[in-house]
Amino acid sequence: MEKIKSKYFVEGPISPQAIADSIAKHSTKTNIGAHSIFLGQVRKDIVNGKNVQAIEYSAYSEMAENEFHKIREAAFAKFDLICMHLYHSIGRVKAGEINMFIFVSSKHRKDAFEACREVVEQVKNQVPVFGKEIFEDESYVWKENN
Amino acid sequence: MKIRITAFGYIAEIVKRSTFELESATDLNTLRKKLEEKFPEIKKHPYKIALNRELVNDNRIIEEDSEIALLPPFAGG
Repeated sequence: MEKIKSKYFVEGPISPQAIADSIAKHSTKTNIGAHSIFLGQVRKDIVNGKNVQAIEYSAYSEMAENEFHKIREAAFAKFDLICMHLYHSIGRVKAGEINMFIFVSSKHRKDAFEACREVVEQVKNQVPVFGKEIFEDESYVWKENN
Repeated sequence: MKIRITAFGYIAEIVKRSTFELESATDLNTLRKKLEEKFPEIKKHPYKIALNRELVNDNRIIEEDSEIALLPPFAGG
């Protein structure tokens, strides 16, 4: 089980087991009919001929907490949702490991699908998380979202 | 009034620390100019300013207890 740094940040990669456990915890919420889950995984990109072996994430955590909260509140206001969990990694996450877990639940699938997609885009645009793409020789470049 | 600033990502690398102080700057435009004077390399790298944990693009007055952060492009998700 990861050491949770905050409500939204997790130290290191998010394990598949933690994701499975989170799904299992929702089986008591029997008003839920749909879960929409998005997982961000670190991709082994090639930059200037070098392979990315990991991304090291850092954040302006006070502002990031605010932004996660705002994104959550906005989604609950706009969509008919029952539950939502947002998690992002801090620290080093290797290629192939999970760095973001967005989990949205609703009565019906339309709200879950739409809310999940919107939340993912907002997290990428609004939350002050920074990333170093670390190459196999431990050199790095700073990552920028498109 | 000294301004306390927190820097992240490549901005922290340019200024060589994650928190530092600047001599008085009454508003954000002046702050930007002073940063460029003190750290000329910053001109080559886009960054945004967060004032009290909110991104601001326009000019704002800097109050006594303002929290200022210099943020490079985001890479979350």
